[in-house]
Amino acid sequence: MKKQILILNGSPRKNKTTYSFARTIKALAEDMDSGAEIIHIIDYFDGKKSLGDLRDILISSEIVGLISPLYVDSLPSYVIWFFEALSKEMESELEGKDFFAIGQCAFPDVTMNEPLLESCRLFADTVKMHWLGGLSYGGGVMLDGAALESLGKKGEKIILAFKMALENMVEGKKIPLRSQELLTFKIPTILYRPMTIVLNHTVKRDAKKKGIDIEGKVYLE
Amino acid sequence: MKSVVLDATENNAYEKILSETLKLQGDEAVYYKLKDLKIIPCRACGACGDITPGKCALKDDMQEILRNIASGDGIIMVTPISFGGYSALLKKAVDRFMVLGLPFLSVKGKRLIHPMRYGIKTLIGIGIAGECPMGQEENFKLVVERNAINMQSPYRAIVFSDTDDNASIRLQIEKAIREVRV
Repeated sequence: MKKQILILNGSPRKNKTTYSFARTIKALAEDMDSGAEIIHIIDYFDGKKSLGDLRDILISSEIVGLISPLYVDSLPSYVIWFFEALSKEMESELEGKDFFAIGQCAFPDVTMNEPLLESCRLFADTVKMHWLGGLSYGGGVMLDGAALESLGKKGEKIILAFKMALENMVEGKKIPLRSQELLTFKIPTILYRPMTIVLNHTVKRDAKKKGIDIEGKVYLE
Repeated sequence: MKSVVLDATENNAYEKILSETLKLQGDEAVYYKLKDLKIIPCRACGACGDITPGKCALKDDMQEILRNIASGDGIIMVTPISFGGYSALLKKAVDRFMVLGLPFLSVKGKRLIHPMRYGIKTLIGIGIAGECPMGQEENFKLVVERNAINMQSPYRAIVFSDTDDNASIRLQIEKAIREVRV
């Protein structure tokens, strides 16, 4: 076996886009004769699992990767909590291991994940892990948790990006720039305005159908 | 003006400075010491989008905080810097800010944003840097800036160290409060 990879799901949900990325990376790693395990950070936050249970998993892993949605411009609170706990209680188990991160956000602009990825790099620095780099995906909400292999060309590009990243990481190399290029979905900013007109119209139409007031100032009532 | 302060620090060092500074400006300050409150993290349940638009389904102290933010003019956040961002304690509250935005999209500069449901609030982020690796301060300021862009807020991000004296902290906070209101 080449490497043992621990994949951390940073989303509170276990069946959406973040998890879809995690399961793809697990499958790709196994295709490369590496071992992979996914854990859900929310289970540790909720107390369903204890950090002590994680010790053996960490010790046996050579690469640790976080896959996380972007919440209000940075890591979700659960992930920060997990990083804070790991840095206090597991630094010696983490030291010297490889670490990577993948951030995914709702908007198509991949630069929105920059603060999230930088926080991951800083976590790696703090616990003396070896930072292998980060990947950013924009438009995660549109995938809605679908299996990447069911998404045609779009899915193929994402899978290829992850595959290239993994091939490098199991060799101890950093994630190549080409992986990010494959993930970057460029929408010309000139199209933003017409796009917002169509999307806003759809949102209003759907709300009208459901008979709900989406513009209400509920916290002033 | 009414400012809502979200203080995620362990001690009371900033409470006195901020309360006095805001009082001197003639402001009403609603001060929340987050460690003493029950704030449940966002579960991404989607209820605030479809079921109760703009209203979070979680029943905790955040409901009162959101009411004060909605009727207020500004938000001040105080937090130890955690991996170049907010501490988990502050982020639990900030992740719940989602309901402050409308489900529509608009374009600001080269970015897509959600228009704000309760108008524009000023935003001040105060980070306290401990012994931290290079880059934490810059990323903390970037996180505050990104929040401000999305909330279309006039903003300032300040970073203090544990060794800064109170007079200097007070001066910088006063300056930030004045500047976001210009």
